[in-house]
Amino acid sequence: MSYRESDMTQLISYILAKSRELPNQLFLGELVRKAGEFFRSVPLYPGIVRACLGKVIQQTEDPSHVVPGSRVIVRDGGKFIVGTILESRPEGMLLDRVVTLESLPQLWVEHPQLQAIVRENVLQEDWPSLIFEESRS
Amino acid sequence: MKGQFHLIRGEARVEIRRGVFDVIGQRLEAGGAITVPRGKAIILMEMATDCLFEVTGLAGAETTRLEQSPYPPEWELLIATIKENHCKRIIVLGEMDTGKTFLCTYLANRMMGEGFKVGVIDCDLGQSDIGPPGCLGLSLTDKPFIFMADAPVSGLHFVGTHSPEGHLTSMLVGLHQLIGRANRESDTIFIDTCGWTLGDGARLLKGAKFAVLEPDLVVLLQRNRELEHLVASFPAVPVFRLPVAKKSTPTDQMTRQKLREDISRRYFEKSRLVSLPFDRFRTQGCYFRTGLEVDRLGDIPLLYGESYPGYEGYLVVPRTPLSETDRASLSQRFSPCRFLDQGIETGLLIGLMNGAMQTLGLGVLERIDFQGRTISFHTPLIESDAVEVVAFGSLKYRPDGREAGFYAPGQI
Repeated sequence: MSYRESDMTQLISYILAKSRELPNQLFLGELVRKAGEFFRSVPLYPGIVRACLGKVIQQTEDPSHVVPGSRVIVRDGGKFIVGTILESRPEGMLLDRVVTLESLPQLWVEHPQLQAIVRENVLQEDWPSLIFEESRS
Repeated sequence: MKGQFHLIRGEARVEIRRGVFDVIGQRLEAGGAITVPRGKAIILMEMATDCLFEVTGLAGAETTRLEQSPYPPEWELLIATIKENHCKRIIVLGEMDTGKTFLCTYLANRMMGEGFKVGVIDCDLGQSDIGPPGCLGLSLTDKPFIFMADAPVSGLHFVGTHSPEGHLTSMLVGLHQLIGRANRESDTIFIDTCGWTLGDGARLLKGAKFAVLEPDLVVLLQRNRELEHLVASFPAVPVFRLPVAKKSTPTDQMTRQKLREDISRRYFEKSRLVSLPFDRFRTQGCYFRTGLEVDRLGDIPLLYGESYPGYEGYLVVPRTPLSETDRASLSQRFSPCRFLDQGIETGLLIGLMNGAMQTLGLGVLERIDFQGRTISFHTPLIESDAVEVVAFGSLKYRPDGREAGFYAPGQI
């Protein structure tokens, strides 16, 4: 074991841990967006970025917390929605810059719809000497 | 009344009307005056029976008459230990706002009062007292000072940031340089450290400091046992433990920033604009001027460009602003590309060094003129002809001396 020379590894570990803990990728996307924003502001202090990230996602069901301009994540049945509040009224909110995420068990798509492939084996292919029996199992 | 103590917190101006006072080991007589900056404090001790002083309070000023000596009896014991054991290098460790600088000032003044040639190394990059923020500072002096910021600057080492994190190597190289000189030119050296005491980086840095500085004594200024982990691996180094004075009060972030800006402004107030042609200097801490010059990347002509070996990629200064699509396309073909849009370098803090890599002074970049092949910067350094190396830092300043943000290391 040795000491880390910067808090950068802690920052990465924190984001990875959150990727498992947060309900879905919409939450994670917002967390990563804020990480980028904080990091651009204070590139010298990954520890401060990490500390601030811990306060970014405030889980709440209390509508009094929301004001126009806030970025919110809401749930509509099985669908999660993220957006920026443009207008807030007693009965609801009008959201801007909306992204939705829906989980489905299976879905049929056409080949021309393909955009990219996630290459799962990049580390193994590019750095075979760094792949050990223990981590393969 | 002789022997009476007064604590004065800044921002305040203190004028001595009658009698003689001791201020942290320095004598002050009628007619003398001191300005106590915001966030700083002094202790006046009456040295005669009829003493009078007047305080003009500014923001946050406070005057308190103390019932007893603010100097704990252990401080006297510490001085005796230093003298008896002929301790040459003494490191003072403590968390933020525990009075490390005050203790170092007191110890330095007391040792000077006894005829010792004293060196003080200021390792606090953010709350620098010897030299401007972003530097390690060395003072070699035989004249007592009230605030460490009043001590003459005998040596600097440019690090270019307010925090050692991510700059440990530069910190240690600087300490090695400064302790070498202090060892040669002083009898006793006090090393005033930063308040970073917890976590991997702090443990690593403090341990490495012990290796580089070879201290004869480590002073732990602690409330409980919060610093013991820093000395646990060094049983051979003698440790002197001191309690933190009850009067130590935390300085808030904004006051810290203002103190830094005040020191920087004072440093740069007599600056002039200096220009150096590209062929007159080397660079350090950046990619710029370390690669092979290229005038185009693919089919895109450049105002200035450099290529670096292997995966280090390219420095790209476009002739006209590139669209995001153009940048993405270039980055894909010539990865990685470090895009430098003209003007974003303005305000960057730089270190100015001689050929032996000794820091001569600091500058603030005005412009890199890629067409005219010159770099221009503001600096109070008079011997700018001696500058052979320009080291790039990570801090940015506005023209009025206010802090303006950061540059990510490796960006230029």
